[in-house]
Order: sequence, then C-alpha cells, then structure tokens
Amino acid sequence: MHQTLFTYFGQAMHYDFCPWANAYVYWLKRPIGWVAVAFLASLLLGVFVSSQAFLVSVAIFALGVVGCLWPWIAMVGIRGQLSWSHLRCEEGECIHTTLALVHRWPWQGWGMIVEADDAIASHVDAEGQPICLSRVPAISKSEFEWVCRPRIRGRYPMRDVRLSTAFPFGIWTSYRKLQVATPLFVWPKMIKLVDVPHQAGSTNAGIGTTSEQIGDEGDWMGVRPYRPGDSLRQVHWAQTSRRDSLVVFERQSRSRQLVSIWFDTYAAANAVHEQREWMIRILASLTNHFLSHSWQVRAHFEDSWTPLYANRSSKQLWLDKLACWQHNPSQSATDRIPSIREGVSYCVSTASRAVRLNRSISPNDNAKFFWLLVDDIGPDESSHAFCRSASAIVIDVENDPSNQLRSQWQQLCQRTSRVKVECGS
Amino acid sequence: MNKFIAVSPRVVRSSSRSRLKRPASGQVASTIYNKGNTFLLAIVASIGILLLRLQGCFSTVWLWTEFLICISIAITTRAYFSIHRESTLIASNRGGIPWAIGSILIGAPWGIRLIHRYCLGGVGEATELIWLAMLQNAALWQAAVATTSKQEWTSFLLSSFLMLFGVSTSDRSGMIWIVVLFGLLAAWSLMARYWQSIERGFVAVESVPLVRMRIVLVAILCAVTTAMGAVAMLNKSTITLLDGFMPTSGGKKDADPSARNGIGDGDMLVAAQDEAYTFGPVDSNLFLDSQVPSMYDLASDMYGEPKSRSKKFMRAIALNSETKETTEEGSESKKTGREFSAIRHPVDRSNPIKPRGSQSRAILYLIGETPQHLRLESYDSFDGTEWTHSDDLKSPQQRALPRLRTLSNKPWMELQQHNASIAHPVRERLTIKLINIQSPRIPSPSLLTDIHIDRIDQPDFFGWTSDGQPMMPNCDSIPQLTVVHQIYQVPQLHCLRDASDPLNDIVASSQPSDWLAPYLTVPGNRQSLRSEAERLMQPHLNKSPKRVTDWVRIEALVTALRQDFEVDISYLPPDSCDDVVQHMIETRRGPDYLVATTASVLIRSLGIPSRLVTGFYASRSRFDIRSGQTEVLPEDLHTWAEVYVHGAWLPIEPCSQFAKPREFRSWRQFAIQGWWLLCDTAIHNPLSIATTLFFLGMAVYMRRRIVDAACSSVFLSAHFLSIRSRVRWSLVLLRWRMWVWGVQRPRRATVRQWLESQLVCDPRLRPSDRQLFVDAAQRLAYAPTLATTEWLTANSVPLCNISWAITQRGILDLFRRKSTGHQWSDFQSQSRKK
Repeated sequence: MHQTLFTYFGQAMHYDFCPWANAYVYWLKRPIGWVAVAFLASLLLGVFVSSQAFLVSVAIFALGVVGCLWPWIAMVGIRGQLSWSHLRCEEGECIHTTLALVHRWPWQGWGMIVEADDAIASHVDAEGQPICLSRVPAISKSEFEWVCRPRIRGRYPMRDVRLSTAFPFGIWTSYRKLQVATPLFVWPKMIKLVDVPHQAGSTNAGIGTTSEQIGDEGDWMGVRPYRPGDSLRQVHWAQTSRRDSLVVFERQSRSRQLVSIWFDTYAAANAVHEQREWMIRILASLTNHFLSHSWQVRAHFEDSWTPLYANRSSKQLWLDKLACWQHNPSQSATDRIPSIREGVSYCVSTASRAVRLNRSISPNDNAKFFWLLVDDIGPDESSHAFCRSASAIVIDVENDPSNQLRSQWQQLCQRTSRVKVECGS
Repeated sequence: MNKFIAVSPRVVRSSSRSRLKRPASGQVASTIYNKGNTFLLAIVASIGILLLRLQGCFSTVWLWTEFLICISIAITTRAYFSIHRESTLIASNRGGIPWAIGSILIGAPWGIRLIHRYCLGGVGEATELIWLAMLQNAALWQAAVATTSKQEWTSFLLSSFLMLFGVSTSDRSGMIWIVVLFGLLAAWSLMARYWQSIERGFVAVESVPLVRMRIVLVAILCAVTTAMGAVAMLNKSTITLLDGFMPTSGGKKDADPSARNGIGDGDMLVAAQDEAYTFGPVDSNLFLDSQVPSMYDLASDMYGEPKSRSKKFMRAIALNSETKETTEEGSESKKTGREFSAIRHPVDRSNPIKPRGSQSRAILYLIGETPQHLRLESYDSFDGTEWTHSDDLKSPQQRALPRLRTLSNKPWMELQQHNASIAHPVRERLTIKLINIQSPRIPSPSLLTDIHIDRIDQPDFFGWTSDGQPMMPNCDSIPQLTVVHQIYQVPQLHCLRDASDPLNDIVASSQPSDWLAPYLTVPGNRQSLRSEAERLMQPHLNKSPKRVTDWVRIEALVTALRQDFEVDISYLPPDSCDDVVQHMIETRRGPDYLVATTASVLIRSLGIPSRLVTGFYASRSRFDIRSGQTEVLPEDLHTWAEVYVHGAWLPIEPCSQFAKPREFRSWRQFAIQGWWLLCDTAIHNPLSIATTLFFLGMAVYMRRRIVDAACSSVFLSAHFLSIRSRVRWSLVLLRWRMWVWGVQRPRRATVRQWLESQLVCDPRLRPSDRQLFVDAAQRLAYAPTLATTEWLTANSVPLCNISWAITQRGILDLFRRKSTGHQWSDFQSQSRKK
C-alpha cells in the first residue's frame, strides 16, 4: 500500500503540469539559476525585512562570483591537444588516447572534464563515464592517457573537443576548446573470412608479361597449404605426401579474378541504424577479404563504380570513405542492377530489397550473382523463400552477426566450389 | 628531464598507470560523505530554527525536549539506514519505516502543542512557528532517509529556505554564526557533489614542471605584498575606501535619510541610542524632561562630593542696601564648574553609577582607535587642594575662529594646526555620539585639528572654552544624540627623545610665553618638589641614554609614578590635608586624580608647563565587534595630566591601570623598542628565559614525537567505535604518522608490502597480527561491505588489540629513546641497502 502511495506521490511530484513554461524556466534548473534566485530572495529580504539577510546575500553573491570566476580563470590558463596512438583503427579496437595539457597558472587546476564524443572520451573500463582530470599540476606540461574503444565507425572527433570545469561548486561551467593533432578514422569492423570462392581468372591484368601476383599460371612462386576452393590440379603431391596434408602450388598470374560488389545505398539509407552499420561492415569485410587475396575488386558505392587495388593506400582510401559515409534518407531508389560482363558479383542489401532487385538480373547472370543480405523482414514474409536460396546469405544483426557471416560465407564458398567441380566433371 | 607522476589516490592502488580508479570504495565513501553533509546541513538549519523559536518560547524545557527527541530520531534513522545500506537501497526493501518516521517527526510539533494546550493548560506555540518546525523536521527526515540525489536536494533546499527565513526574522547574534556555519557547510556540500559527479572518470597524469613552483610562489607573494604595502603607504585612506559604501545603510558619506536597520540608521528613523552613526529628532518631547548629568554630576558620582572647606571670615562694614532694577532676565550659567577639588567625600559604590533620565548607561559612543583619552576640561591653577582654571587664558591659536573647509562634500571646521615636528602628518578620524552628557564642551583628543557635525556649515557654531577645549557656544549643552566627527593627529615623540634634535628642549621653548605662567606655578616649595621629582625619576633615568632630554625626564617620572604609585579610588587623603601632593608622595596611594595631580605638579617643578585634565578614557575592552564602536560609560570618567610641548598639549598617563596615550612610531622605532624590551626581560628574568628556551628547544627537537603523540591521543577516542571504524582510524593514524615522520611509500611497493614494512617495526605485533591487519585494510578498501563486516566481526578481538597497540605506540614513543619514526627510517635505509 505504502509503495503504491509512494509511487503515486512520486509520479505526481514529477508530472509536468505546464510543459509550455519549460522554455522560460529552464535556466532555473541549472545551479546558477538557484544561486541567482537565492541571491534575489535574500536581497529582497534584506531590503524589506531585516538587514541581517544582507549577510546571506553577500555570502551567496560571493559563492556565485567564486563559482563563476574560478572555472573561467582556470580555463584561461590552459591549452591542450588530443592525439591517438594510431591514426586508424577498426570498430571495437582499443586505442590509446593522449591529452597533452599546458597549464600556465601557478596553482593547480582541479576537477576538469574532457567533453567529446563518447567513443573517444570514455575509458574502456567505464564506458559512458566521461574522462575527468582530478588535478592538473601548476605551471607544467601534463599528459593524461587513457584507452578508449570506439564502437561506431566515423571520423573522430565528430564535434568540438572541449575541456570543461565547474570546480569548485559546480554552479557554472567554463570551457576551453582543445586542438586535435590528426583525426582518428574508425573503420567499419571487418570480419575475417577464411574461404575464397572458386573462380578462374579471366582478366588479363598485365598485358604480355606475367604478373608478380599469385595466380594459377606462369612460373611457380611457392607452395602453401590447401584452402577449400583450390583446384586439384594445383596439388603438389610430393609435398603432400611428405607433410601428410594437402599442399598446393602457387604460380604467377597474368590475370586476376574479378569481383564486383554492388552496395545498395538506398537500402542502407532506409534501414535502421544497426542494420545499416552491418551492411557497411559486410561490404568492408568482403572488399578487404578479396583484396587480401589479390583479386581485382570494383565496388559500386554511392552511384559510382570504384576500382580497388590491393595496395595499402587504395585500401586506406576505400576504408576511410566507408568510415565517413553518412546515409542520406532522401536517396533515390535504384531497382536495377547493371548487367555483369565478367567475374563474379555480390550484392550487399537488405532482404526486403533483394526480392525486387533480383527481378532486374538477367537469367544468364544469375549463376554468378550472390546476395549478402541483412535480415529486415518478419518471420511471416513470403520473401523468405528467396533468402533461403543457394546464392544468398542472410544475416540477422541481433544474433551474433559476425559468426553468422563467417559460417555462411564458408558455406557459400563451399557451395560454389561444389558447383564448379560438378560442372567440371 | 625530471619527471614525476602525480596520480589520484585510487589510481595509486592500481597497478597500471592509466587504469581508472575502482568505483567501489571511493565512490561509496564520497556518496556517504556527501549525504552526511546534507544531514549535517539539516541539523544546523534545525538549530537555527530552534534559536528563532526560543525567542517566542512558551516553555524552554518543552522546546528543548522536542528538539532533542526529533534530532535523536533522525540520527538513529540515519545510522540505521547507513548500517543497512546495502539492503535498504531499494525503497521496497525498507517497508513503511521511512513513512512512519516521517509522520512522527513532522507531526511532533503539533502533538506537543496539543498536549501543552489541552493537557497542561498552557497556550502552546504560535501556529506559524509550528509550521516552521514541521518544515524543519521534514528537512531532517528527508536527509535521514535519502537514497537518491533528488531527495538530498529537497532536504538541502528546505534547509536553505529555513536558514534564510531564520536569519531574516531573528535578531539573535548567535544566528549569524549559525548562518556562517551553514554557509561553509553548504559550500562544502556543493564541492563534494561536484567532485562526486566526476570522480569515477579520473585518469592518471604525467607532468613535467615548466618552472620551479616554489620560486614562482615566493615571487608572487613578494609582489603582492609589495604592491599592497605600496598602496597602503601611498594613501592610507585606501584601506578605509569602502567605509560607508552601502548608501541605504545610513552612516558616513552617502547616508540615506530613510535608511534603517543597516550599519547605521538614517535621520528619518526615531533616534536609537545603540549606534554611533544614527541621527534622530533630538528635539523630540522624549528628551525634554530628561535629567542628563553634567560633568560636575559625573565627577561627583565617580569621585565623591567635594568637601566644603572651613570658611574664612573677614571683617566687613555693612552698607546701605541699594537694589538696582534690571530688565535682563536671570540666565543659567553655561559654563561647567571651574574648580576641581582634590579633597572629596568617599563614595558608596554598592550601586553602579547610572545616568539619570535615560535607559542607556552610555555617556557616549566612539568609533575610532582605542584606547583614547577624550579631553573635556582642564585646570591650570592648583593651590594644594583645589584645581581651578582662569577665564582669560588663551593660547594664540585658540583666539582665532574656526575656518570652514569642505572635505568629501561635507562642511568641516578647521580648528587649529599643530607643529609638524611633533604631530604625525597622517590624520586619523574619530566619531563620537553624545548620549548622556550635558555640556557645551566637545570631548576630543589632544591634537584635534578638524571637527564636523552634519549640516553645520557656520563657523560661529564652534568656539573655544577658556581652557582650550572646543565647544558649541550657542547652546547650553550639545543636543543629545549629536554625532560629532573629528580629525586629529597622533603625536610623534621621537624628536623629543633625541638629544641631537633641536626640538628636545621643552623648558627653553616654553619660557617666553606669558600666558603659560599659571601652568608653571606650584604650591609650596618648588625646590623640594624638584628634588622629589629627581629622586623619583632617577632609577628610571639610569637606563636612558647619557644626555637626558626633557621629554625623557617626563617619561621617567611617569614611569616612576606608574610603577611606584598605586591607584586606589577609595583611598582618600584626610580632611586636614593641605597639600595632597606631599600626601601622595608619602603614601604613594590614591585615586587617579591625585596621581595625575602629583604628576602635573612634579612636572611643573621641572620647569615644564603642565595641567590637570578630566575627561573620558575609551577603553579597548569596551569595543563591540558587531557594531564596530566603543561604549564609554560613567565609570570611564578619568583624570590625567597634559604637558605643553611646542604649541600643543600632549597627554601623559601616570596611572598604571590605564594605557599610555598613543604615539606614532616608525617600524625602526618599533623594532628598537621591541629589542630593548626583549633584552630588559632577559636581563631581569634569566631563569624564566632559560627555562622557556630549553623547553622550546626540546619541543622543536621532539616536534615529531609531540605531534605523533597528540594525533594518537586524539585517536584514543576511536576505540569506543565499531571495529570497522577502529581499523579505518588506525590506518588513518598510520598514514598521518608516516607523513609526520616524512616516510614515503616507495614507488614500486604495493599497499600490502608497504603496510607490513611499517608494522614490522613494532615488536609487540606478531607476524600473524600484521598479516591480519593488512588483510583487514585491504578488505575495507576493496571487498563488499557486508562480507567485510562479517569478517571484521569474526576477527574483532585481535584487530582491537592491534589497533590499540598502534595507537598506544605513538603516545609511548614520546618517552622512548628511539621512536617508531626512527625505526622506520632505519628500516627503510636497510631495505635500500639490501
């Protein structure tokens, strides 16, 4: 009974009976508002009731002055710069952040807060809690270091990084903008995929000469353990018998396998946040995986085809682009996927969009077109049938999507290899 | 590069430099601390409200009983919820206990009122005070049961409102202190709240100092001190710049006529007699019938009635009676008595002297430097038993009319100027409010230069009496409650003591003036008086420089009188005495006017003009801090002597009960005087000085042991607390002790290693004891509360013994040859060698 009463009482006490007035009395919710009201009240009492209240008004005034001037003075004498141990990292990776402060006052600075995006201004052990500085030594160069774990891709800082303090009384906060040495690019999380789909190279990448890249033609370059999808013709039987495990040749290549990845920007723009992020992560994982195997990759992203190369700078540019991409909800829909001339193609989209997009693909392209979809349809939807097809991977973002992608990718690779072997036989 | 690592305390405990502090112990401690602060604020506010309620109290006993019961209930509740904090953090686990307690606390004032009214037949307390008491108890209750910050805020705001209300409606002086205490606690509470909000996110810091901190601090301190000194030296008025700053407070420069209840009241308010700056309708009917005492009355009350001397008869021839008709009306004499008898009747002092016609005992109020000799009347001629002053004696300066000049937009009358060699150029200000004295004379210091009464800008309002005292010639007596502002100078006497200074010869400078002749006459044989004066001053001249100036002789004589003559107001000369000076020299005992008479006559015998002065002595002991003024009562009527030096009358104080008149001394003179005083004390009290130095040296040598023992003595009281508190306090004591002995924890030592190394020096603690204590310390720091409490309770007996041993050690170290601190230092140095 008492609990119910308490609940009702609490609700009544916290009910906003006049929300229209909030805009006018919002200042009253701040501590400085309370101090101002108390000062005014004591002043009026001093004038009209008793002069002793002047004493209180003087004390409150002093409190307000100290509470406002101290933070301001403390911030005037401080400069700072924020930097990171690496310029780029993936989502969920730990990174050391260093705040270098130059404090020029001959007294210590106390109780300061680093105000920035939660991803970078929060310790890995206490996420959500801002980074605070208990004291900054007087006339010194100080370095504060913490480990943060940005969980969302992006180019950090996304907003101004500020040092603030309301010490000693917390009634007024003063700020100082901090410099940022170089921005931090947080790439989308890339799932490490193991298998490579089987596909013979068809594009002549180096005309007239053999390429130094690993391939299936030209001279031998070395041996390596067998990976699912490798042709049986490449097996080095002598090494296999010595090691008691399959070992394959690696030859030079004049040609590369070509892969086209079509990213459905419209679907991503209209998906919910977590699904959109996982679409980006799938795209990043795929491109990274193919580039690490020296495939020739071209990605259709933001209405244009982007050729990607296996060198470091190309990869960085591509991932930086993905890190910085912001969705545009007014993105125009494209219901037609351009025809694929050669190589294999992958489409990253949502399950609901895949059904419509599938209609635009010619029957000839169907065999070399695969779908990597984020599940955004309910359990009763009829499009489930399409999602269960052999050429589609469907990821449920709420149930360990990393493992799902890894395992389903492996299955997809095995399926394509089997199809190839069956066709070959 | 010299790097140092400064980390917050909780980071120290962690092994990684950049690891965050554990939120377990520190946060909880801070939360509890802050909550305790809110509770303390509520208690302070309750005390304030209690003071207010006591003003309109129906029964002090009932009120105190109610207050103590409510406070006890609140403290018990808070203690209960603090102990069972873990389980009662969720409101549903608390049951209806908080509500029941709240009902009791809030309803208590009403209940007691009903009981008092209907069961005991009383009237109870006023309704508004009851509501106030309920609000007070609501604040207490909220603070006691608060689990969320919102509840704490509610309590804090209620307490603040109560304090504001209390200070506005109560005029008790104690309320000011309560408000000050509340303000300090509230500021501390705000700081704790802010710190609590950020402390979970603290990170470590590694710093490189840009410059040497100590040098900067010393430089800043020197610069600030020099600047302040320069400002103060250049313009002394800077120090009193803010005087009369608030215009609505009435008073000095920007007084508002309608001001009230401020630092001073304005003219429109009915004149109050408590404040020196207040003005009022002085011609009100209120004062028409009052019998304000004159100077004669005061002297009679203080010293007794003058004895009538035996009449001297002369033979005469009777003439025809011829009456002359005159149209002039008989007028009352505006002058005070011109005689001051040194032979008086004894006074019955069983009843204190009280002015007639007024409720206030004060003669006047003074704002300014104290002690102060305020001259009112002086006498020039002495016949052995009676002082009189002549009507036609006037110094050249006193013949001139006052000159009007404007200072700070106020009309001031410049009365006279003094010799710049003996009057310090910096002038001081004095304000006097006359309350209970009927006289046209204005009490003033000796070196008065300017005078001001509000709105009086006619010079002829002021004049001089024949004996050289400023007065208001156009009225019988200065109206009561008149505030008189004065500017005066302080004498600088160094030139008079310096034998090489041409001003030191006072006798020669006073010879040519004819009007000074009465001030040089002595009753009886001048030569015998002079020899008596020489004999008195001789012991004190031996200490003086070789060539003795006139002023040094005067000072020696005054010192002799202050040391050898006892002031006893009840010891009067017999009726048959014809020469009170001779009587005083023989008995060396008597009232202050006889001592002053003796001083004046003996100085005259040396050829130096001197006179007797009556007036008031404003004592420093009567200074009221609250109003910033000094009250002068009838008992402060005093008599002293003055010496004429280069155109000015300088006061001398021959009575040891009263402080010497102020004089200006430079810092060098102060230092020399202090040095001589020190040497003199050392020469005369060698044993005391040696003993003091010995003990001071011992105290310095044993300073750490003494501080250690003092800390340990304080911690003895902790042994009446719970086992958790004992262990906690023992840890704190250990930390203090290490700080006192300058023992620091090595960088790489863990808390366990460190504590064990400290305890190993105590031979009474076995290894198992040390282990147990360190375990307890770590559990207190890191383990969950409930589990720690259980563990501590299970090991309470050995832990009590250990904490007792730690505390005892500090006290016993005071008497040991080798203290724990020394052992620690030895242990550390040995550890380093290993």
